[in-house]
Amino acid sequence: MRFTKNLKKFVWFGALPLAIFFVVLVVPFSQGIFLTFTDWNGFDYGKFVGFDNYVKSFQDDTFWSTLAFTGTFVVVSLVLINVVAFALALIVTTKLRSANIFRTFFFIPNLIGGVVLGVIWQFIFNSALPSISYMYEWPIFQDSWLNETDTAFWALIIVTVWQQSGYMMIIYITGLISIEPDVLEAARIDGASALRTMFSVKIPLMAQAFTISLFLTLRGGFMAYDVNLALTGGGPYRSTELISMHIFQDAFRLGNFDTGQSKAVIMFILVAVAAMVQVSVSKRMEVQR
Amino acid sequence: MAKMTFKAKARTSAVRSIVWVVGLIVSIAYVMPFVLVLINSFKPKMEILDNPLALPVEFTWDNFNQALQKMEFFRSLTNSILITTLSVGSLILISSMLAFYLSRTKNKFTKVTFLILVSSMIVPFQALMIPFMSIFAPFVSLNNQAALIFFYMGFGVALSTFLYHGFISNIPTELDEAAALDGASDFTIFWKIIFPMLKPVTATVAIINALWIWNDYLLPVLVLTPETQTLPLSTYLFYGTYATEYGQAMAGLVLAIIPIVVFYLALQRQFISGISSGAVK
Amino acid sequence: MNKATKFAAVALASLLAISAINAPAANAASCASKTKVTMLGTIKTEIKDQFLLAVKDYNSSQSCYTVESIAADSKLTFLQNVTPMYAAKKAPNIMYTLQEIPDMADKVMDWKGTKLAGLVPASLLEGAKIAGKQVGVPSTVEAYGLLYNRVVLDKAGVDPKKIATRAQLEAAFKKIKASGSGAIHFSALWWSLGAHLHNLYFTNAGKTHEARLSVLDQMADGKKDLSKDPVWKNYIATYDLMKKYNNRKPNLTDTEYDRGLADLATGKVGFWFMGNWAEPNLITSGYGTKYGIIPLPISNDAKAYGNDSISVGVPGYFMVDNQQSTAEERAGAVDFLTWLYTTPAGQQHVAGPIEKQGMNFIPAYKGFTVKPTTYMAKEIAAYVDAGKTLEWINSYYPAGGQELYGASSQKYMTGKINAAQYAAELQKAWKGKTKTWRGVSK
Repeated sequence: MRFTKNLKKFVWFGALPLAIFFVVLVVPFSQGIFLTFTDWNGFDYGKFVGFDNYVKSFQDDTFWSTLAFTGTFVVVSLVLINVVAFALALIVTTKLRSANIFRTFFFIPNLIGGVVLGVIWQFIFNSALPSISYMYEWPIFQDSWLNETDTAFWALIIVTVWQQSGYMMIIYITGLISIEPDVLEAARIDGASALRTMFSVKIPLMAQAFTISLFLTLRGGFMAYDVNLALTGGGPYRSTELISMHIFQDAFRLGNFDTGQSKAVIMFILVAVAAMVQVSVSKRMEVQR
Repeated sequence: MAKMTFKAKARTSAVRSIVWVVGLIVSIAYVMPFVLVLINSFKPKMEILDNPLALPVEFTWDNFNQALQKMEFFRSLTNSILITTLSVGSLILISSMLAFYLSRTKNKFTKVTFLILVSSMIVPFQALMIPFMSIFAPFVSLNNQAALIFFYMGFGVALSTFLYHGFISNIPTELDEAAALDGASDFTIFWKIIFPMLKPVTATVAIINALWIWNDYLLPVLVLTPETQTLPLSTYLFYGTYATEYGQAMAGLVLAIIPIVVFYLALQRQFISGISSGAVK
Repeated sequence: MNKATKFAAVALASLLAISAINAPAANAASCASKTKVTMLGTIKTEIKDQFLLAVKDYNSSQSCYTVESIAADSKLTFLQNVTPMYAAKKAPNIMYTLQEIPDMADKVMDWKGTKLAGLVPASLLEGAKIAGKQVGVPSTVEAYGLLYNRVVLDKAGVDPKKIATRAQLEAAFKKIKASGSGAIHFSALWWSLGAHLHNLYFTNAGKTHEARLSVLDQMADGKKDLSKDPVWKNYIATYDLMKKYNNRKPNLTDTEYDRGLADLATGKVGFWFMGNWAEPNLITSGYGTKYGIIPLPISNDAKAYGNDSISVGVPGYFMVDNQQSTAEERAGAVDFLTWLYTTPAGQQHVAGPIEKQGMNFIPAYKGFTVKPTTYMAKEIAAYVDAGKTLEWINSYYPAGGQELYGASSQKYMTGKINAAQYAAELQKAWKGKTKTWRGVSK
């Protein structure tokens, strides 16, 4: 009886979405994994090669430096995006006259695709900022930030934070607004300071928003490609290639489809582990209502 | 609120003023790049290169006329709207249903399925790009727009379901149970009770997916033909192998940005009412 | 045009038209239905409109084939565009590329013995010959070297034709600076440095085609010590000279091209290391039409090999798929390209001026009746006619190679590494590479 009821529910609600998901994602992904064990050249394959492609991938020095660069990028962007986004959400939910306009402005960068944003910011870093710098004799922007690995890293971070904080802000606003006003009123009557209220009442009550936002930024950090491509193009000297771009370069510029595909699988495993850890930790911290 | 002392009131208003100033500065910083694009969209290429910050010497619509023509603006806009609305609509439907099933039916199968869905969100597209195209080539050549919408359903269902799942888990099960006792079927429970409560998260899901699909680049490039190309694809026309038509590119960007900003402003109102009806006061 | 030349042109044109009709593939009006022939993208974005206009003209000129350009994404590499299409069994009939020719060699038609291949000088076919198979036919001829702004040079009293050595180049730089302009814009673009400038070493390293390829062999075998090579030392000395007189700090992003373009056009500098593909950009920017090109002198001996010659090569080759296309599609592909390069109408599209919707290409085929008329194009044609050309060894670089050489060169340009480290990085990047220039496949 219970089984039949569940089956019925599955057929009504789960079957179609899961079938689409299976066909679009699972099937090609499995085939992609299969190909890493062959001598695939992008067009066809002749024989199985075992783990050779994975061994070759790990012997590639540039792959290791890309992994390190990507790791740093993920951590820094994750922290900054969420701090900024939460701050923006607080600004917008403070009862201000212009809160709505502010929110609109904060969200606007998110409306546009990464390649376009990258192109705009490349123009800003290369032309606009040096131009202002010379006008007012600020040394900081006179050289394009995209010329040095370190500054190019921060350029990537700035654009990423600018692009994604508005989006995460929306999630945090949803969380902040969902807190019952009586709970906050109770905290106020108990004499809790604003800071105390934020850390002991607001944040725990909106833990779900943090779970989602942290997950999205983690994923976004690992998969970042568009902004990377359009802003730095991996330069200077291929030193700012994030992992997605490295895989593209390996497969489609150097023609190494075998290692490129293997690195994509390695990347998937890394992200999977990081995301599982993050989600399970966050979920544990959520308040079950 | 009336119980607040005068001192506390003064302090609150001081804090608010500071927050307001911070908000204003950050807002300006956030919008500045677009202002820069707008200013430069009225300038010829050489003027842009000479001084990107100056206002146009002579106000001209030349860049816009060129851009409208080269981008085939209205055709691209129609294509974008068609693909985005149909994909988002389908995604809302299938994801809310799947999330309802996964969060309300607790067993091993739903647990594992949910885990697979969550982990699938980190599959990089490049890992399956080429096998993907070979599997779906016949479908794509039959109708590339339908194929693209189908792909978006497949790629988007995980994140949307995840968002719905989080929201539905917070809706007390007592509601469903009471309805079930009254003899309502699961179908009725979902559509009559649960779905109407999902408005705020549906708005979020709609915005998130619409933005992603509207701005997506790689998948449409692979799937669509020039006749069915979307608006963002058409804005890349101005970036040549070597040279960039900066003026036209800026105008193209403005043209591509306007529809999505209008869409956002229109949906924003719904978004606010969706949230405030649930929470504030 | 006077009457006599006009008559000659008409006569020649009609002759060509007759020979085109007699060609078996172009037997007009005999087709029951139209065959669709696909081409991936166009030649390059800059002249996309002009190319598509030629396609349109071709389609209405006969009733057998319809050529259709399928969208290629210019932000993606050629292989990114083409591999999914092959996987989907939807390979385009016509493809156009340079670096990836070895990857495609086994998938495309052999042009040997075709009318088009017969019209190309042997040296220009070399770049698309893989293990004896003629994999592609060229689109045009391009040249790179020092572009100059005639107005700036005249004002400074510099005669570009008299610059044959590095010392003379430096003297010219000094004169230009004294006249109030910047000497040179030296673009820090990876492709300009990695493919073009880097080629100056290889093309001067051997006097014959075979000698040059054997330098590549030595690089791949790890047997070449660049720092002991006098040609390399000269290359570095010329490099240093351009670095010293560069009018701006190097910028490592793509905007550098437009920066150089603007600086040369507006006369902020006298020279720019670039190629003739920039000429239409320069002219259309509206600051005049007198931009010329001279070879970049690599040594201080005016008579040394290479100093009087300009780097001329083919920027890309047309290939026709042989695996997933029908015989009709292949015939259509060949017919279209033959029409483009041998008929007066086609040639008008290829070599006609930009302002008249032509591509302003310097012909790579014999028997062209339409010739480009711009200042720089005529200068290059003169070098070609006099046989003073240097080979583009960059056509033989392994896939992805120019990115690596470009990255090392950028490091040298910005002072991140010294000349010895630059040489060492290049030797490392070359070592162990598959000798695709010898027809060895991966």
